[in-house]
Amino acid sequence: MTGQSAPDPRDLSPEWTVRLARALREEGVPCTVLESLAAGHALDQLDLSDPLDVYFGLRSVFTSAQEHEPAFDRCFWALWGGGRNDSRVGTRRETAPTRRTARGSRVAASASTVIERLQRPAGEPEPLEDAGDEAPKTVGASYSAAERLVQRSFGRMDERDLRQVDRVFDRIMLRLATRRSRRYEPNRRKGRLDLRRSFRSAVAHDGELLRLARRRRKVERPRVVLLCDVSGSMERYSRFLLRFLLAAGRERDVESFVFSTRLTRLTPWLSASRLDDALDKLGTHVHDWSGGTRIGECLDDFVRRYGRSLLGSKTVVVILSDGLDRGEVDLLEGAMAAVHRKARKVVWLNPLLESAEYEPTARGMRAALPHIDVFAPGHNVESLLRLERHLTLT
Amino acid sequence: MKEEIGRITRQMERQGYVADRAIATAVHLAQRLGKPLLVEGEAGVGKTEIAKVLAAILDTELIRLQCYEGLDVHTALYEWNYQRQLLRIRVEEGAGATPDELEATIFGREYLLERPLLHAITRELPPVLLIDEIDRADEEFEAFLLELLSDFQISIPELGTIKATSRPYVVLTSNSTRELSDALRRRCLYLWIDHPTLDKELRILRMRRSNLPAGLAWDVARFVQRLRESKLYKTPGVAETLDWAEALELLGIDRLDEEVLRSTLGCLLKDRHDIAAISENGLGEILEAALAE
Repeated sequence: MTGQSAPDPRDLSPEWTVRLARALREEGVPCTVLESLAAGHALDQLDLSDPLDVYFGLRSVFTSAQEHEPAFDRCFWALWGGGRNDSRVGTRRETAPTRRTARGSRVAASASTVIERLQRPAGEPEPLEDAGDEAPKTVGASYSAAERLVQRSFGRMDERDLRQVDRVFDRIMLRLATRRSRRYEPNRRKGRLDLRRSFRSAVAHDGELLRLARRRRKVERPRVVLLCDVSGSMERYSRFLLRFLLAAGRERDVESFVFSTRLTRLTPWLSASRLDDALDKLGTHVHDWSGGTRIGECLDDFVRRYGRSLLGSKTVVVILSDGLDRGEVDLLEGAMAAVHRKARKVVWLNPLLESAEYEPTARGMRAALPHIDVFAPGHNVESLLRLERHLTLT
Repeated sequence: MKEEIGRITRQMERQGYVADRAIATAVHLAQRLGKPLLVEGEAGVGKTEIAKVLAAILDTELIRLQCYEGLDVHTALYEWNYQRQLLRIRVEEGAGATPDELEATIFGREYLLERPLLHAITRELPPVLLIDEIDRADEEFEAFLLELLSDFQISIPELGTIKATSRPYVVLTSNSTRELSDALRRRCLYLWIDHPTLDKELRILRMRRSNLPAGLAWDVARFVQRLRESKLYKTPGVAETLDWAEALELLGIDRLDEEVLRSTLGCLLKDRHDIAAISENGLGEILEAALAE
């Protein structure tokens, strides 16, 4: 890199930094003029002929989380190489394709698919192959051999349903939000002495301590981790569930993930103020909508990456999946055991429980069962309503 | 490379800390730009060490605020010494002081208990302020901290505003048990520390466990690197490598074999299931593969 690209220091002008910031924003790294300003100051403190100085220096300024690093790498080196010749347009063109080739053209397709799915008006027919609408057929037919992107519409959901769904989510959210926090609260009789309040009230009585104030901890609220299966066999349900996840994920102490062949954390997409914007953004980042399922791998990945930070004695884990798994059963069982061991409670909502004849006979589901505390249906609004009663620590 | 960055690398090394380019550059910029440095990374990669080493280099005080759930302003910033105030009231009553005098007395600085944050901004020389595991504190505290870090002044209702006499060098660490707010992240310079490369780990071993035979240090580093590639619930960090090396040193071991490994695996793996999984299958192969490199 050094030889071919060391730009003339004057090329690292404010404009260069601003271009870098713009490229980063396009990649979803949140940075504003503040970062650009700081970058300017940082460059004053660095050896501009040394790409590594500039790279590490600007990286510490522009990124604010580990997941920004790959994007920073792409943008920085694209601009560093291109920053030498003065054609700015050319440089910008260089950055953009990097991104597309990196993730493949499927990304764009999947984005539009998701939006399309959630915005398609009532009753519009499904335009594409294998409609597979009856539950048993879907279950049988929708396994996919590879991680694939199926541009199939949800079809059945109409506006009324959507609104109903959102209302229920509001209710559940309200409930989550009003669970009591970890802070101290005043208490008349029990708890530790609260010297501050005791003293305050004493001042009113000429410094005479007439009553001792006490305080105790408020009831603690559980942390909730939602893991939603968005693979092909779940497609009928995941459109509801996804809205739920996105709404819930905005709440404190709620973490949501989707998985099919890979696990994706939703948190980064929740900052968008409108639900549809969040869905829109999310669509570009989940690469295997309606592909196959590898629950075991995904759960295992979850435990490894987030287990230590998210699972604990105050965590309720909610898995929304039909348990139809293409991966290794051992891995699934191991991961479920780990989740069960570390979390306070494991709830599994299985949409297939909607049918009275359903028996958890699929290998994956059977392996997971011993590690589940609550096994309940999750196919409609009503079953989600019932979820709130499980979101407690007892 | 900017001269100062090289110097920081050497200075940190003299304190027993092997800093790569990313770390040295971030520390350099944090000092020069006067911005807090937010350090993230797995447990045991040496996040907290950065603050300690920085304090040693700058030859200044290290003030540490360990965060935890429920940490509040009165534990982190200041508290009135109520017992002492009450005593004073009693004494003044006998002396017949007026209420105004009394108030002025008991709300003076000597009745104020300084907690770490207040302490940090009222030093003569800028100290290093380590805010450890900020992710464990709750969001309300984070918001408060944000304010402090931007204004470097604190207002105490009874006493007025206290301005910083010196701006501390602030290092925040996080284990990501909770997502930090974007506002806080973006106020800071950001540094992610990964597990070290083989080369870096070896240098750390040589530096911190200089009594360890050179050949054994090699083997230790290579084995740990291999071990990190296995699927583990708790991947060993540098801290674990150093513990293990120390154990090997104390046991007077000069070469690694499977038996030694089995008896000392607890230094590296801190999860019962990891130990079971690794010792049941793969321990020998990992060792073999590591030593064959």
